[in-house]
Amino acid sequence: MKNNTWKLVVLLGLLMILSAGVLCVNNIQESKDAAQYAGAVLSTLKERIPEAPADSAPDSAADTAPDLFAEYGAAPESSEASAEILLDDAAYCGYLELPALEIELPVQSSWSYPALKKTPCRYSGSAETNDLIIAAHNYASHFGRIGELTAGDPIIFTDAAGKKHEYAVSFMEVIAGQDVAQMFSGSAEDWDLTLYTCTLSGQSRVTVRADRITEETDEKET
Amino acid sequence: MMPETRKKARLALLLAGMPVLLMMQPGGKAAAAADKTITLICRQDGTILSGMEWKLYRVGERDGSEIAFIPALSGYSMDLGDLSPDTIDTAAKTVESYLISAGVQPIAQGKTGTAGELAFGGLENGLYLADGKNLQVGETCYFPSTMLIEIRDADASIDYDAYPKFYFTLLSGDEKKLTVKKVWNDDDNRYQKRPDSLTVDLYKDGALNKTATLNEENSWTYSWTALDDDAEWTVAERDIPVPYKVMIDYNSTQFVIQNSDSETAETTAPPGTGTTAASTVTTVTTAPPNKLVQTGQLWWPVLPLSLGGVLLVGAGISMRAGKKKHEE
Repeated sequence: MKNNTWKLVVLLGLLMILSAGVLCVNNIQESKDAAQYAGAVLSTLKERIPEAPADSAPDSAADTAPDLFAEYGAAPESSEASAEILLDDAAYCGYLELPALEIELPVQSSWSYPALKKTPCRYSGSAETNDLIIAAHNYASHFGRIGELTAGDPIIFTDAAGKKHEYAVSFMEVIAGQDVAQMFSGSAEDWDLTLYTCTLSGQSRVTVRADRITEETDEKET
Repeated sequence: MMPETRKKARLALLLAGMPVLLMMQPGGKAAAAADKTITLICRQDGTILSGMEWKLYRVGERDGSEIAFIPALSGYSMDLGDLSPDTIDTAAKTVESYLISAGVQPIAQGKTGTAGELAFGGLENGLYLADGKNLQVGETCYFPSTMLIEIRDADASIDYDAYPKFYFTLLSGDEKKLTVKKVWNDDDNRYQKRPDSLTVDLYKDGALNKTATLNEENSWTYSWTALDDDAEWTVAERDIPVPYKVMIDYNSTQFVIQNSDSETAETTAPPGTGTTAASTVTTVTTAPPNKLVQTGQLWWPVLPLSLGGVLLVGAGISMRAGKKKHEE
């Protein structure tokens, strides 16, 4: 038995290396699948999203009934969320462009863990109320590289009605995984859009804050 | 038809925008039990809605402070709130949804006359539901609200005039998208009682049309397209999970099925999403209350596994070398 101890130790070591390898392959494959899925959805979504509407266009004028989902606090709760596009039994509120990273991604109207494995999801808020928060996995093809964004980088969110919301990165922070209050703090005042994803450890969230590029922003700056 | 004692409970429902729960107890002399009349008066902004079809269901009767539902409804765990003006609208919609689902037949039906009135006579004490069918006048379609009407009068014959609320749409002939969404009022599944999925039946004009499965993967939401925009759709959750109670609300394109865990609903304050404060129907949270979404892949074990593995392999090889040396 003693003679074979070295074999057991080597075997255990090989098993650990193999496990690490399997985990890597699994993660890479999951990331690839997510990239493919998001890409396929994005092209269909772009076809379905109409041309940018006039700014003065009323919100779905035909039906004046209040948004029932908002009344019950359930997503979709925003005006652009109610104008959503259904693809593959999932509702999309628009798509996101990060030109600095050459990334374009569809955004689902509400989040769930299975949904996040496919595309970024609206976590809270809306573009209309300047408190939109979008969460996504840290796949390289999703938000894995948002930490590379720098102040001033443009972000464009096109909602399902075709309206473009343009932002510029203002600052970045790392928020602890339990710190929900910090994630929401300063919404619509210190920032108009937030993107976040997990750090590699999964303990914290890389959080990108952005301001809307509007006349109001210009006034603030001057 | 004319009762001995006639009192009209004219509620300002059109202004309040609420269906009615009439709980009048007028004074009067003893009379036969089944001699009450409910008169529906259907007029909207000077338009007399004649020819509007109504069905009247008897859904239960008062048993002390509670409502004892008819056997066909007793199996459904419905959340009707306190039947106050704040909750009566959704209570009526919930009962209506399950009446249709259970295939309950109305006790009476008829159409409003030229004056826009329809009387259901010969009624005894109990809880009634009046369900009207939409009516097309020109290019406008009038949708009447469903009403819960309780006759509690113990000893008098009485006429109740009920004024349904109406909303209307212009018929476009275009197809419309309908969405049903499950909302959980259980403090973010604190007690882990949510099922993985549930089944919702979708009824078109009272007949089962399709069935949807809602789960986390589809964000507890299902959408479908209706080709005829004057059809009347209702939804019903098929098997209400224990210990939840269900409440159904809808408008022309959206259906909300809210499941409330009674324990949680009683102990949890609403998260303040800006809905009516007086309502006992609490709202739910959309974001997790105490944690951000976990959006990371499982990368952290890769490094310790790799390093540990390399170290062990190295250790094993050196052990073997040492052993060989020792043997020599």
